[in-house]
Amino acid sequence: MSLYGMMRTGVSGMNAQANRLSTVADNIANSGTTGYKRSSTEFASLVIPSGTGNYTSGGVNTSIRYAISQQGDFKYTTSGSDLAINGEGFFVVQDASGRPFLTRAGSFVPDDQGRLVNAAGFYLLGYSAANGTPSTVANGFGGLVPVTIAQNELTATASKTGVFTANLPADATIVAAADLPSANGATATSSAKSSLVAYDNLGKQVMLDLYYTKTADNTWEVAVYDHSKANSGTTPFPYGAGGLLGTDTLTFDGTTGKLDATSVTNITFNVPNGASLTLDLSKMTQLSAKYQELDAKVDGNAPSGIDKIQIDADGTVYAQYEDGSFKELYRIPIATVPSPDQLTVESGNVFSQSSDSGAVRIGFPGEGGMGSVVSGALENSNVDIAEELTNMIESQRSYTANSKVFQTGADLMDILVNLKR
Amino acid sequence: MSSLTTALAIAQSALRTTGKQTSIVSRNISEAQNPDYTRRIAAVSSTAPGARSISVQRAVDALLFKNNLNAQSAFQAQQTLYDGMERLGLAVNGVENVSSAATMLGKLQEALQTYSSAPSNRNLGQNAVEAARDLVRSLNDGTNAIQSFRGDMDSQIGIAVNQLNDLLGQFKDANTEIVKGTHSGSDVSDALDRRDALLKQISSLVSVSTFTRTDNDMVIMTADGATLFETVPRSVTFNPNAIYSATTSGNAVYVDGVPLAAGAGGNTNAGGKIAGLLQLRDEVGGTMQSQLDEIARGLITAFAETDPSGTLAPQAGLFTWSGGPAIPASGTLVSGLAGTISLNAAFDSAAGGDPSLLRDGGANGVAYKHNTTGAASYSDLLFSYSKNLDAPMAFDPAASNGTTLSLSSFSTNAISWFEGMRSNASTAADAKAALATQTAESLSNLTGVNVDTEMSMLLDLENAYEASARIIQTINDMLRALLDAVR
Repeated sequence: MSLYGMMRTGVSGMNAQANRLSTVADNIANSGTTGYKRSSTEFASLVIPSGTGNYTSGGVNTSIRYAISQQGDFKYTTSGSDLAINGEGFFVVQDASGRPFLTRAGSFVPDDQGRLVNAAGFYLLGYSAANGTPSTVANGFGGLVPVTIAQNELTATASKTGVFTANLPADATIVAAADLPSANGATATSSAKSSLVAYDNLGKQVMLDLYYTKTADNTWEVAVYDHSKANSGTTPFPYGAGGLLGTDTLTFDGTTGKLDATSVTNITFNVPNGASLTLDLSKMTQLSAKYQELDAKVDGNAPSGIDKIQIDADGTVYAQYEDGSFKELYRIPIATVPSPDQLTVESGNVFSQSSDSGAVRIGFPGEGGMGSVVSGALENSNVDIAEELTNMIESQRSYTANSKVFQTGADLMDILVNLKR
Repeated sequence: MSSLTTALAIAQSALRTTGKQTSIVSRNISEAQNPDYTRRIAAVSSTAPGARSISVQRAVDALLFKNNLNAQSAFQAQQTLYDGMERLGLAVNGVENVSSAATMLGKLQEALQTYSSAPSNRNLGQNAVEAARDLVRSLNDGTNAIQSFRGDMDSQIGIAVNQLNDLLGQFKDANTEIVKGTHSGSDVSDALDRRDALLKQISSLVSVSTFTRTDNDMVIMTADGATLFETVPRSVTFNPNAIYSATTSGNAVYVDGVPLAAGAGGNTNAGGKIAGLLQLRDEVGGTMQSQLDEIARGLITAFAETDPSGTLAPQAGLFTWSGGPAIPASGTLVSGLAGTISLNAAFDSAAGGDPSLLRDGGANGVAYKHNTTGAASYSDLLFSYSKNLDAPMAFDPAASNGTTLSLSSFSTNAISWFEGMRSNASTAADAKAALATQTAESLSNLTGVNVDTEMSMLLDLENAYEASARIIQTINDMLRALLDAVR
């Protein structure tokens, strides 16, 4: 009803549009910021109770919204430690003082101590795999440590399991007991021989000689020798003391050519200076074909430095060693809250828990509705320039209109004041 | 989210994708003449809006590649065998077999017949002894030629084994690179090409079979199942012999402690050059030597002097040997006899002997003299020698040339055996060469670069690039229109 009221309403409209223009300015300024989430304004009318016949203008209330849960486009890069989340969730990071935050800005690089730090100076947190497969602490940041990759480390893994599959020639001649490889005599003969590389505790390559010898129909002896103990002459027999690592008997089913149900299916022996190695022989066959190795692998690796770091979609941080083998170092968790859009926004594209957002829940990527980690990609800001520009034009017009309201009020006041002369 | 910004990002990534595809096409064209290069295919996949990733794939046909490897190694073995037999045949038997033992034996028979028709003619006796001398020379030279050939093969095996070890070393480098690259998802096409090329070279030396483990880690075995490469190369060992004699047996080639089998037969079952060389050294060279040895033994036996009264044991006559004057045991191979057989000095006028002993007998003493009366026209003994050459006698089965037949048939059979094997080898070499060429060609058709396809691909890419650029231009115009609205 009052002119003052109308003028104040115009001011509140101008303030509201100024707020909106501020968000537009921020959005446009951060349109190229990795992990930036667009802010927007929502307005609510403020009504002042008025009686019949007169109207008291109220005003407009501004509230700021953040489109935190809206995913931005991916920008692909050539760095494996550039990370993005495809789907819901945030990386857990901490600042220099150790306070945890959530973020989707994943441009991580190792710092001088090997910790992965993003462009805003936040350290990536993960669960260490040093003591076995990590598991999450579902409702808090406990157990998380900065992901640290020391490039100068040398590691070796002893061989523990292996697989060996081959066809043994069914029509091989039967070897007399005295000439069996397990007897380790100078006259030892085998029906078939292969060799495998395994690794001892210090990562030294140990060459294993595998002898398969037919002792009777459908019965084969398998003997494993340490190649380094072989006789230097033309035949490796007899091996030196301690050369025989293990021996066992395989029995085959004469109708199917597969291992008999009662037969042993693996051979376990100690690698010299190494761990106990179990070689799975369950897929061996004995058919009337020549000896042919079909599959052979043994785990473990030689001492080697870290060549590079690889991060999988499930958040596992692997170190790839120079010899091509891999080791799990960390697992990066993903955190989420019931209402991500209501997180408190802080400098550096990070978010912190607020009373409206709900409590943080932590899980592994790809599990339980969490997004997956994309290595070699960054999430662009979700700002759309065209939308911001149209908002800006709209705000500008709206601001002008509000100023006209204020000006009209002021003009009317002028008239009113000039009534008294 | 779809907006102009997204559209711009998509167009940008399309430009990047097209650029990458173009670089792959240009690489294909530049390597069009490289037989070991496999065509790269740019596989494009959409990962998220505005993001496409390119992975480089190689055009592979594992089965055909395996066939090609087998064909190549069979061809290499066959060609090695054929070339070696050509050389050996020429060295031992001469052009058209003129210097072969069979030809020389025929000449000796002729000379004997002529002499027996005129036993009083001393010159004819001298001729027969000269023919015998030529035969001895042919056997001695043949032995030398075979043994120096075996020595040659032995040193070639040594060279091939060194080559193989070297190739396996290079294979390790390529394989390690592939395993690392495959696990980290980087492009390992070049290393794969290199590894395939190395595998081709390895299979030309030994016949191989392979299988691939996780991360493209390849394991190579010989066709017999011995491990050649698994994580690290296995050592292939061979101890060469510098000098070969008929009694020297060559050393085997050991792959990871397992001896490598030599090939057998004219249409050899061997795969790879090394098996072919082993076959030449042992089977071909060895059998040929035993045949010459058996011919030499047959000659000593056929020309042995007998006691007319039958009490004394026969003793070496026109031909003698290191074990003379005793006669070598019947039907048993004496290794190296062809190298030690010699003309008995008692018959050799050049060494002060008397060729007429051939007519009369008695080189081993009066007890062995048949022409006791000294008749100038005595020809019984000469006839008996001729008869001996055509009478069946026992031969050692080790010479693989029949066990009971006449010496002259044995000597001609030896030639037929060799020629038969050589002609088999020649036919098989042609067939295997054709197969090797054909598989190589089909492999190249499937995995090689076809410049026409690449050029048409290039046109497509050009169009796609222009379209993307047009989109960017249009978006730019639209944004400009919007900015113009802000005043």
